Amino acid sequence: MIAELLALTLALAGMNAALSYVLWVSPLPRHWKVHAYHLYSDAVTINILVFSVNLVQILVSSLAKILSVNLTGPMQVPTFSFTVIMVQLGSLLGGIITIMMICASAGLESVGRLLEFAGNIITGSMMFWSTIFLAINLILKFWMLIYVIGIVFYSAPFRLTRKVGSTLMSSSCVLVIGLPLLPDFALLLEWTIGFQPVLENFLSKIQNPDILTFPPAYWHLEISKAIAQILGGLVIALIIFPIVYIWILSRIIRRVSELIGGYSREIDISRWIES
Amino acid sequence: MVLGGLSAQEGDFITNLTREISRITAELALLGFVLAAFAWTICWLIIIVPYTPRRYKEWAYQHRVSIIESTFWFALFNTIISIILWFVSLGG
Repeated sequence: MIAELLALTLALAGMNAALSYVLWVSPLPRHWKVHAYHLYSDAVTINILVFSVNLVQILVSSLAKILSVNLTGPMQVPTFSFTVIMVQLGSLLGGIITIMMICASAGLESVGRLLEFAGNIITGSMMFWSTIFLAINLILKFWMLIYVIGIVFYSAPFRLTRKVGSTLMSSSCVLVIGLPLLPDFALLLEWTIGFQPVLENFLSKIQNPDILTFPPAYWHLEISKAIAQILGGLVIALIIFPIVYIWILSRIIRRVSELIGGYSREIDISRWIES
Repeated sequence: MVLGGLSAQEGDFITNLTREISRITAELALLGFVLAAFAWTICWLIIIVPYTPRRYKEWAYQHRVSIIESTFWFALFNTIISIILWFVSLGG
């Protein structure tokens, strides 16, 4: 499939060069001859792109290796991190449903309604993570195909679909590196702002020789604080952070595609998130 | 279409498209060469015919040079691609 698409791209490059030659030798006005320059330079660029497909593969895998130190291996499906995330979100949802049921049986409908909103957010977040997991699977399988389809679009004569092509090319390269790192980054963030400070706090308390003299109210307060901190870390890392991360990735895609040859606003993910 | 692969018809579509584009390219190249030969001859006639105004002769000189230049670049492009494809076919 990829070989067929590359053959099509080479044919399009040849067509660009032939069109450039025809425009150049035809008795046409000067402003038409500008297209001849563009067509010829495009034909050369397309050939460089076709013969650098292997180089792009090597570049992307080595960049992924550099970025994934202490995280999931380069360009792999982060199944473990994903399971940890889903278990956490599922437990949180289960806890909220239990409290809602208790509130409903006690006649506290207003509290139940508040918790229903939180439950909706968590359910949405679980669906979002499932979509991310599916997207990671798909992008790891098809990124090269998307890249080559991008080259085909890029090589249409007169730069008709050049922006769509460069956006597809940059999307495939950036997403294949960035997206598999998202679950690991989210867990790292959760650990750093949620669990780690709580553990450090409790360890410092345990090392105190007067620990047994602390009143029960103090421990009640400390445990409440710890739970709030862990839940806050969970919400920030697993619900807010992924949206910000994908927005950042889309900005990187935009910059890279502008560097390659223009950005297509029709498939702008950052615009969807902002709206 | 099965995810991850193409059916025989879709594979044929891309192959046929490539073949058609190659055919159009070959025809365009031929048209280009004919046009180049025609334009070069016109320029040559303008240059050799006596009493042609000087500005026409200058234009003909410039245009003749540009025709030769563009033919050279087009031939170079095709030669390089042919050599690369020949190497690729040796490997495959």
